[in-house]
Amino acid sequence: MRIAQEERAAYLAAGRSAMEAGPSWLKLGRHEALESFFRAGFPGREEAWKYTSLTALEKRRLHSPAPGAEFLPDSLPAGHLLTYGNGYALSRSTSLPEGMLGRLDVALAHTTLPAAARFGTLAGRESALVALDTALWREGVVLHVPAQWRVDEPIFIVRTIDEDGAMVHERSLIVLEPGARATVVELCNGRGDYWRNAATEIFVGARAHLSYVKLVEDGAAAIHTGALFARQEQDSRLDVLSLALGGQLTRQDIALDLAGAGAGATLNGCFLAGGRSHVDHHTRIEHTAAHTQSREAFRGIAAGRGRGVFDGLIVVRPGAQKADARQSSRNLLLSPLAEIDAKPQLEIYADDVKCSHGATVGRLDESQVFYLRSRGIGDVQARAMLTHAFALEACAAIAPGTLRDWLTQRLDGALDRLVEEGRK
Amino acid sequence: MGKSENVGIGDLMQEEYRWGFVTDVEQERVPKGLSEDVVRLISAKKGEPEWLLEWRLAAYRHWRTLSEPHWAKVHHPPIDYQGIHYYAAPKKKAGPSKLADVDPEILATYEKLGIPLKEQEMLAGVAVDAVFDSVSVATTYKEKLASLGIVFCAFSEAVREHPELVRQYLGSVVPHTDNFFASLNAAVFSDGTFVYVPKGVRCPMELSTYFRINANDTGQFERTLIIADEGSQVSYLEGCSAPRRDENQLHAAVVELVALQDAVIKYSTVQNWYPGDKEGRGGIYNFVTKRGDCRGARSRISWTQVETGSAITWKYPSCLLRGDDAVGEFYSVAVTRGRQQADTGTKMIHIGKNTRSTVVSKGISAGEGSNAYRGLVKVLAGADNARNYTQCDSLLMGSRCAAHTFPYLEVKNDSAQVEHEATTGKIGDDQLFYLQSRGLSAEDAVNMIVNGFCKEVFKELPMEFAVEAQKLLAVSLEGAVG
Repeated sequence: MRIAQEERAAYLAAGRSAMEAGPSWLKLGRHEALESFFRAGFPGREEAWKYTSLTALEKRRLHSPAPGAEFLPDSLPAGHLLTYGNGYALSRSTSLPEGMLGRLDVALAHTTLPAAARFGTLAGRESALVALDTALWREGVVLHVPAQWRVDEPIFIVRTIDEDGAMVHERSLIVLEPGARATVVELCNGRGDYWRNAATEIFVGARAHLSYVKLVEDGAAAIHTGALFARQEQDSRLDVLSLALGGQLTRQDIALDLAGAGAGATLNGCFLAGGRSHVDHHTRIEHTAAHTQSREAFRGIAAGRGRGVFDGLIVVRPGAQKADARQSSRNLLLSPLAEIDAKPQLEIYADDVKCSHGATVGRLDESQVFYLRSRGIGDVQARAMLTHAFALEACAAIAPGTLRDWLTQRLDGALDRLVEEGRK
Repeated sequence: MGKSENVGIGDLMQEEYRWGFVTDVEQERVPKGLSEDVVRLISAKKGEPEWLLEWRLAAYRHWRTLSEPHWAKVHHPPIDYQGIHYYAAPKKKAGPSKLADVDPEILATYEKLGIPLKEQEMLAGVAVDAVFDSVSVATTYKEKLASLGIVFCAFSEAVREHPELVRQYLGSVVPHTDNFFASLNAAVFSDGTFVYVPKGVRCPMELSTYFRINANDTGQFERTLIIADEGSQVSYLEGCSAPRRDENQLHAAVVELVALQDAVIKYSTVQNWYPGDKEGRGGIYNFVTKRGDCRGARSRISWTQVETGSAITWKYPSCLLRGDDAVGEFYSVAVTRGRQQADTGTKMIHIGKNTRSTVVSKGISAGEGSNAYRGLVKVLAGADNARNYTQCDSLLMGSRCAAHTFPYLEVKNDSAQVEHEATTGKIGDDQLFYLQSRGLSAEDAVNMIVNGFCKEVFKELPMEFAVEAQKLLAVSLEGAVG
């Protein structure tokens, strides 16, 4: 639905300061993107939004907030750290040069930087929400790892929003040149009834390896719409983990393109939907080149009146022979009013391929509970153990170490609260 | 009106589509196009009561407010709904009441299709209600069934003889407002089959209808209604084939099944409509709405389909599991080759407690065929202990074919257990090598592997159908692997 004339002014006012900065090509792109958002409006009746409604968002009065405060979670592991408050860069603690890890708007002002040419080539204007993000993002993050560089410690980008009614559009651009390696964790947290709209573009060069984690710990009243686009070159590797542990309404769109022969990807996720919250993951993995491999595993747990949605599509393009894709979506329902909707899909246009998917929705296996109880473990504890084990499978794609331990802790903490709620 | 123009028995195309002949029978048609007048005319020709005409008109009026759905993964040029004859019937001579009175040309047609009515009458076991274009021409075994209280007749006859049953159940599973093609069917349906099995009766033979599209430019809109009363059982077979034509023909049928308490309905289809030629010219558009309603406790509906024909198939035989402990099943083999497109699957709606459903779908794509499984498993909040198992496998032959899987799982009850799994792949070179090393030709090896792939579905078919289905599959895939 188109955005009404009187509402357009509000968006223009909210975005004015962001849209008037930067080089002219960027400003032009912002204005075009805003126009295309106005024409398309918020997604509504289309198939991709069958299970998720943004009407709550359309009703909210939103504004552009002032810079907020930094909020770091407990026992954050050592690594490079960038913090953002309400979309504004706050602090930077890293040994990496500014040109490698820093603000995206600064990088784009120097178009000679190699990363700049990639900006906007994956996250364009196809989706209205991404178009709005393209129009209104400010400051942003860029990571550019030159060829053969290894960034050993994880890079944390902590994005906090702490203002009611705030509308924050975030943008990240991650480029790994051939042979480079890096691990990135984007952490989203905050409090209040804000709207976070994010877009991330990832380019993984030939033989490069990126681990990317999106950890969502938004406040209980927050709406989060995120889009991630990645393109992989020959023999590259990308591991994506999406952990959705908070927020009122979370929607993540993840699209991976295995464009180079021999590229491999894992896409894992775990989402917890408790209370009245709603978590929706839409994933799309395209096998464009031959000999590409993908592994996707999502674990969903819904309790209370929570609703979880998984929509995963695997596409094998013509000519992508020897593609090998596996997808699994397993979901647990912890209470009678919770709901899970799963839609695992395959679209295949080549013949010499191996593709499979599986999806399950149900309760814990009573025979497993019985086994643990027969070993002297109480019912409550047995169920908690099985639920934890179920969720933790998603983290398996992250290399063992302090980062995985820390992510497991975050997941465990959120899960304890959910299981507690499911028991009530 | 008049004779159909092209007479082409035995000429050129026999090999490609063996059932592509045209029977030269005098036809009675209404003019092309659709309007309230045409609906009234069809109703008047069939001498229908007022309530049925009103129902048709309501459907027509509703249809006019709808637009053609485009969500299925199929592509075709726009359909001109005003360019279709909505009614065609062989001209009546005196009204054949016995097999002997039936036009010999029509009987000869069936013989070519391999269902000689006379033989079947003797061979016992199968009663045939043959639908030729739109009017049922011969019904056998009626007396024997009648002695058990089973009604098995043409739809139009049921409207005359059993109006109270038809009125009670017509549209109760697929309402006239259901979807674009179902509404169209409700407005213009010409004939079909009606089955009623009374309480506690187990139908002693397989009931069967052979549908056949014959006249040029006529859509066929038949309607099947099967009611199994409490504790009864019935198995119904449906087979289809159509002569070759260059223009696409629309086939929009509706099938409604009602299973009351403890009743069992088994519905089997072998669909072999004309698929079009190698370039994708011609062929049937098979846009069908099939739905079964497990209305009573412990009722059971089982769909089995083998889809080898049609240019486009758009079909989702579904089960509404309303009664507690009801069971729904769907077994399907769909083959696409040449430029055929299929978008088919099922819906299992779990409403009652302890309901169970099983879905097994096997898709085979060869040449430039496109095959999609689209299915919904929905567990409503009250469906405690619902259980579903779904398996869909695709077999790919040739680098230009396509196979898709679009399952939807919607679960609103935490005691439900829903499982879906799907695989896609091609026939392994090692499998072919093994069979060939045992002396099988490449073609036989492929046939054997394909038959094994489909075995789970074929074993659900009644004997005669299983044999026919295997033959059809072999013919369909001839030359697909080289």
